[in-house]
Amino acid sequence: MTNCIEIKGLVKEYKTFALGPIDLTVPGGSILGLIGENGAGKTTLIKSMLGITRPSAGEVSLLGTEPDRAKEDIGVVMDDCFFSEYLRVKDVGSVLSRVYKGWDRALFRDYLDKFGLTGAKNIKELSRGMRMKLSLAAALAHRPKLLLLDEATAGLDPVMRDEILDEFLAFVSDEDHAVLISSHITSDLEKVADYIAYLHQGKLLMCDEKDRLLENYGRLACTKADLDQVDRGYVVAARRSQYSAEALIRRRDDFKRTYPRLTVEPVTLDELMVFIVKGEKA
Amino acid sequence: MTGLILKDLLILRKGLRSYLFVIIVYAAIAFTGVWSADIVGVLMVIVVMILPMNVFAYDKQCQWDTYGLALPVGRTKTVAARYLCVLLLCLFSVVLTAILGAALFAVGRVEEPVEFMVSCSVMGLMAMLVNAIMLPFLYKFGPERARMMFFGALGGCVLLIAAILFPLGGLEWLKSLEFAEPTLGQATAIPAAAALAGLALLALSFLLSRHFYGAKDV
Repeated sequence: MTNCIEIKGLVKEYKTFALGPIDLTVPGGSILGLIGENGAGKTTLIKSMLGITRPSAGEVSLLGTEPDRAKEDIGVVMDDCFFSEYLRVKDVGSVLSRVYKGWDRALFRDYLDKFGLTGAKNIKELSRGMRMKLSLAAALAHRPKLLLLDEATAGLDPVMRDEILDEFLAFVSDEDHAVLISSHITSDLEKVADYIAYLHQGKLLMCDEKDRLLENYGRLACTKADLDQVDRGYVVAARRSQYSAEALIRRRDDFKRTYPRLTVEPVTLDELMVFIVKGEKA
Repeated sequence: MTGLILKDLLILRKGLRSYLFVIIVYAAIAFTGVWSADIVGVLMVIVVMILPMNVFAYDKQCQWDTYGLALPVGRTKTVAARYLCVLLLCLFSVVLTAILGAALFAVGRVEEPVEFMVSCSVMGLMAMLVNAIMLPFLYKFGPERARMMFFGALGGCVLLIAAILFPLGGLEWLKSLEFAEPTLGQATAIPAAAALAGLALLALSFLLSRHFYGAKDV
């Protein structure tokens, strides 16, 4: 199994924000979910990977080669539809069929049918969700090997999101394929991602297998007095109110054995993010 | 690259139709003899100046550059596609003006076809010159600022010409100048020279735009 994404020491510096250094690897046949609050650097990371914005330092290898050479095999969906409102849906196919060597007109039409898009319709008339579907159809119709998706499921209804996520799962059934998807809808990532990378203020706070991450961490709800008794080595972050406290605990199973009296529940990705951003550090 | 040219033309489709309608109206007026046939050529230059500005503005509106740079095209070819699109528009405008000129000649509204041909090629050169100056500005500063700068510079040029002409006697002095009637040989050489000069200007302009776009962080 080869790596579809390899990032080493990627840095992008702006006057008021710096991303990185980022080291990240995504193996073939897997989906990496990129999470982080607004402005954490998720879009900057994707843009830097593609050379849309020029990195200040570091190396990026996509599908085993430099990004410019790999673009023929990459499907991209950004957080909005970037096709002009003056185009019609079918125009997107006419344009991109002359851009991608591997463009499959029949597949594009199939996706349009599947997503309920009419070729003659003006993009101006499409809702945000429909525009995202068009972007997805455009990203998939040249049979890419790598999908880079920035908030690609935003604006889609739950049924369509579920269908799209199934599409991604089918896509990575091929060991040469991979998906990087940034999303605020962490329930989607909990469903499909194999790995989770958490960006916070431009830094990669954690990157691990999703199952291991969710098994490792837990949410402790207890009194303030109980929390004070807990070994600090277990506590990642804590939040205290007037009468109670809750904490993000690492090594959950070990913690349960050490403190059988205390209740620790599995943590969601949302809770993980909230604790790390808003909780007091142990 | 042809995909990007097609994209630009498709975006301009509606605008092109509107401008074509305006040109036909102006040409119709020229047919009646109310206006000189040269007005069609001047209108063509204005249209070919406005259309590329519109493409930049539409691209900015939908943030096309972000998506465009994710495509397997590259920055140089992206700029080249825009220049080829502009060149196609210039060619289209010159051919259309020439066709209208021939039609006007056929109904006797153009008395000097050779002069009209020369004026037509000068208009074509003007269209290429205007774009050669404007496109690097558009790449460097974006459509809003470039438009302001360009029209500011254009206004400055008009004032400068007026300041030079005023002491000489203004338009009356210009009208008093007598130019020799171009021979047929000159009239056929002028379009070729104008096309070559226009292409050379656009080539220089392309290098500048490529430099600006290459350094751009989208």
